[in-house]
Order: sequence, then structure tokens, then C-alpha cells
Amino acid sequence: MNGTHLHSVKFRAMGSPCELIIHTSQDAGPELLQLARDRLTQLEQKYSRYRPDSITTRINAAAGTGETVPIDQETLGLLHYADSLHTQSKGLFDITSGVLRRAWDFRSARLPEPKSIEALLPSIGWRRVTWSQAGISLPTPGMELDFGGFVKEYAADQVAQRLRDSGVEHGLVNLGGDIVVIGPQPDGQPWRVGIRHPRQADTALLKLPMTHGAIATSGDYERFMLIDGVRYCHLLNPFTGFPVHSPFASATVIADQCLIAGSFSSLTMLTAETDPDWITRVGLPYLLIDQSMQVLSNMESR
Amino acid sequence: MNQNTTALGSLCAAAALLNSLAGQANANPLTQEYSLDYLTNVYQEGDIPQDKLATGSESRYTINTHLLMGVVPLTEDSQLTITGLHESMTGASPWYVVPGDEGEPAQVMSNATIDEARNQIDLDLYTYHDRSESTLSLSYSKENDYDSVGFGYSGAWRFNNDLTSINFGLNAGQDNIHPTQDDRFPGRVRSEAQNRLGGFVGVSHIMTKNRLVGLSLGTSNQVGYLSDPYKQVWIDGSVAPDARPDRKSLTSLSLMWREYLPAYNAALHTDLAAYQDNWTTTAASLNLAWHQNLPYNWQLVPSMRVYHQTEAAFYSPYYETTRSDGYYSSDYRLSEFTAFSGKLKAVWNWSSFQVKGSYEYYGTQGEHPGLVSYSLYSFGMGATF
Repeated sequence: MNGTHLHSVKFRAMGSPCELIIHTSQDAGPELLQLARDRLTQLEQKYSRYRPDSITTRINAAAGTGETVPIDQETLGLLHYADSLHTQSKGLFDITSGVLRRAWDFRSARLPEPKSIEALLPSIGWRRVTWSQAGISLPTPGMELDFGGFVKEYAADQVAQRLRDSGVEHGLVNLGGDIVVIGPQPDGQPWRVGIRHPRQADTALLKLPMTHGAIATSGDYERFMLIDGVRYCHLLNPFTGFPVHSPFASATVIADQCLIAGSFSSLTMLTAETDPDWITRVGLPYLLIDQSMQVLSNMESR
Repeated sequence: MNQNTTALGSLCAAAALLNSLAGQANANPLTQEYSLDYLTNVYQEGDIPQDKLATGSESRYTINTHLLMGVVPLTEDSQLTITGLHESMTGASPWYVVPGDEGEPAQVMSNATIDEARNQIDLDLYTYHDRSESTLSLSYSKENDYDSVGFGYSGAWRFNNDLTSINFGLNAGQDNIHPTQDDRFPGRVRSEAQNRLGGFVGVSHIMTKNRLVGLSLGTSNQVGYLSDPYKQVWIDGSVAPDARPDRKSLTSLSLMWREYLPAYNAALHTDLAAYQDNWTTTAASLNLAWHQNLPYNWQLVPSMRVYHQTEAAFYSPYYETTRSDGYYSSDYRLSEFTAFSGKLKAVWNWSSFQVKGSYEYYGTQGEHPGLVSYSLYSFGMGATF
């Protein structure tokens, strides 16, 4: 394409470092980047559990009151998606499991008291939540929804879609490692997406060429603590309240949508404790890094 | 093996649903598309029955309308709608009412000599923002004895996750009339004007995916020459010009209920409205419309409307004595009457083209001999590109 310029911006959103890169005309670039960031800001404001005016906060504040909090179409779609995730993961992916955060402080380097975890388990259980297009009602006080498990991936898709709708043909959306690629680079070359070394921050273990689609990685290094040589990571089993001990340090999945890629990378980590081959039967390109930093992948042919 | 491919299928389906819902939730109403629509109407008033006609033409107005509307995207969040309208009118209109042999009111009609045209242009500048939208409107209408200019602003502010919207608007205008002079009616005004100022505020709320409700309060004030220069009144054997107060204030309340019924793939639109003005006219209306979606991109919309109003304080079909306040009008539009109308509309969409047609019949019941009934035939087509 003649006359295209590289425009990029780095910023923090949804608790992560983000980067948007697009190739477009000199004039349109800044406006398009702002348009994309506006959509991201909109989603962050809407679903952040830290914001008092978010729908998440309103739903959580009404827990146990019997009140049905009205929801819009987009939130209904996210709940429907969370429901499918819950079903397909046999309950391992549960958007009500965020309350465990109260017991697990990964900066404390101390394991929580078993009692404090047991006290939280009754607040977990997506199947007890009443929801429909009319709204949502959390049945017990203290129960919480947390869209954090997949809203960033969804946001990456939405931001990329907004850019595509605006005519962008070459670009990359990176929201804290959840990446959507909008076409190849202007010279036809693929983007080279780095897969982080799970034990060496800021080091790419390898780079994957991508011209389209999305890639997401779930790793045991995001939030964790090492106690007596055992790694306790942020991926919590909602049935036990304890971290899963995955044979994988990270799981990377490629799909057309970042939401799908992110869901399957999370599910790979959650299910690997009992079924390490789970992802091999899904039919999506994956790249697993085990605890000895060996790479297992079905992507040789890519 | 099957279980996990099911997981992929299931989550892809849920993601597809989410994307379609996200589209609805965040659809930028401005599609950045140009559109062009053409609409033509034939409005045909029914003949006045012989037993209600004192003298003049039996046949009444026929109005042919041609409307062309274009939408032009200006920027990413604004668009301009330009509408041009041409109307040609022929026929006769009610002049005044006289008492019949037994005191029953009988209509005196003009002869079918009216042959006029009206042209109007409207400009609407619409802007959309994440939380609000607004429209600035300008309108100009011209016919041989009449011109009118209007200005409007309306806005909406959305909150509560876009589920609730506050809507508001202001409009103002001036009408100038230079009536055609007629030797038979000396004293007809030569040049008069009226000013209009109105506003409304309302709220609409999406209760569920399938239900939208709304309430709106409106007010309007007209000041100036509010009489009809072509209408006369019969006062104890003499004919005098229609003379109405020079100020009219009205308030209105309307309630809206939209219910989509997935089992029928249809929506029921219900509208209730009440109205009162300082000429002591009160009115109420009920509108029901069934929007039925059909295969092959067809939609059928049968609808019906019932309307009732009381008469204005100074109205009478004719006057046997003079009034101390000097106000007289025998206009059937100020009498007490009930109106019913039924309409059937069909719409067909194909790709970016739309074709629509409708037929409406409107009938009235009341004491005034000049109460109107009409048939309205409409055909339109449009395209976006």
C-alpha cells in the first residue's frame, strides 16, 4: 500500500501494558488509534470490578439482596459465553471464583489458612446464579462476578474489529499478551509474535509468524508465589480453592478470535492437572511449554 | 475426542452470539452509508354526503405528495439528512356551516377551484456520541399564500449501560400567511403571522431484551394569528370570518410500550397519548401496531388507531347569537369527534434495497357535517450504498 505510515501507541489498560500498531494514512492514524482506545476504555469502565459505576460492581453490590440487576445485550452475551465456558470446562472455569482472591495474596509469600478458603467456597457456584435477558441476581451476599478471566481477550477482538471497520488492513492489537493480528505487515511479511519465556521475564523463548487471527497465552508466571519450592499460581480450582498444579508453565493457543484463543489457553492450564492432553483434542494450533521448558506444539507445519 | 471439538464448537457459537450482541450494544448508529429514499402518497378525502351538504362541491381534497430524502455521512459521528417534498392539492374545502331546515348543521363547501402546490425542504444534522446524540433541524415550506420556517433541536442522553435514555427537544417556528383575496368575503386578512415555541422531555427504558417502555411530556405555545383565513362562520344569518384567540397553549403526555414476541417473530407497538389545551380541547388516542416479520425479508404491519377529542370552548357549527368574547370557529377540527383508522403496510428488504407500500383508511364520527374521511395510498423505495 502506498502512502501508509506506521502509527503506534503504548499505554496501560485493564491492568496490563498494551500496544496498538497500525499502518494507515498519515492523517487518519492518531484518530483511529484514539477510536480503538475509546472502545477499550468503554469496556474497561463497563466491566472493571474496581470501578464503582461498572456493571460488575452493581451486580456484585446487589448480591444476596434478591435484586435483579438489569443488563444490556453485550453483558448478556458475555454471561452466555461464561456459561458455555463453565459447561465446557465442567465447572473449572467459573466467573464466580474471583472471591478466592480474598484469601490468596500472592505477594505475601504465605499460604492462606485452609479455613479462610473453606469459608469462601460457598460463595462460588455459577450454576446458582439466576440470569436471563431480564437481568442477573447473585443468590448469596459476598458472591462476586469477575469478567477478568476473558474480558481482556474480548476487548482485543473488539478493538481489532473497530480498526478493521475503519478500514485498517495492517495492524496489531496487543493487550497484555492477548494479541490480534489485522492482516500482514504492509510489505506482506508476517508479524513475529514473541512467546514469553515462562521463567525469564522480558525474554522471548521463540517467535511465531502471524498474518491473521489471534494468539493468547496463559502462564503460571503471571501471579504466583514459591513456597518450599512449590509454585502456587493464580489459576485457582474453584472446587478446592487451591491453585492448579499444571505440568505446563504456559499454554499458547491460536484461533480466529482472541476470546477463543484465551479461553482455550486458560482451559488448557486448568485441565492439565488431570488431563494434560486435553488441548491436543480440541483442533486448534497450540504451543505448550512444560516445567522443564520443553516446547510441545502441533504448529510445526505453520 | 468428540468432547473437545464440541467445546470448540460450543465456545465459537457463544462467541458468535456475543459478537452479534456486542454489535447491537455498541452499534455506531452512523453506518457511514449514503442512502436515498423516494416516497409518494395519494391522499384522497371522501366525498361529503349529499344530506350534509348545503351547497358547493361534493368532492374534497386530493393531495399528491412526492418526497425525496438523502442521507449523507459528514464525519464519523455526524450525518446530514436532506428532505425535499412537493405537494399538489386540488379540490374543495369546507367554508362554513348553516342550519338546515330543522336546525341540523349543513356544510357549505367552496367550489372545486383550489389548485395549489407546496414545496418544503428539511435539513437535519445528526451527531452521535458514546453517551448522547443530538439533532439540529431546519425547515422551510412555501406555497403561494403561505410560508413557514422552523428550527428544532432534539437530544438524547443515555445512561444505565445504555438501557435508559432521557430525550428532550425544543422547536420554534414562524408561519406567515398572505391569503388570496375573495370579493365574496370582504374583510379577509391580508398578511398575518404566528409564532410557535414548543418542547418535550421524555424517558425511555429497555426493560428486557424484548421490551422498551417510554413516557414523554410535551408542551407547545402558539401566539399570533391562529384563525383560518379561508373559513367563515354563520352568525344569525350573516357570514363572518373565523376568529380564534391569538394564543394557544397545550400540554401532552404520551406513553409507549414496545414488546418483541420471539415466539411470533413479531413486535407489538402500543402508544397511548393524552392532550389538553387552553381552548378546553382535551383528546386521547390509542395506537396499536403489529410488526410481523415474514420469510424472504418481508414485513407486514397492520395497525389501528382510535382518537377522541372534545370541542373547543368557542366552537359551534353555527351561531344563533353573537359571543361576548368575539371568538367564532366552525372548523370541524375544533368539534367533538371520534376518529378510527386502520392501516396495512408491507415492507420488503433485499440486500441494500427496500420497497414499501401502505394503505390507510381514516373515518370520523361526530356532529359536524364536514368531518373528513380519507384514504391514503403510499409507495416508497430506498437504497443504501
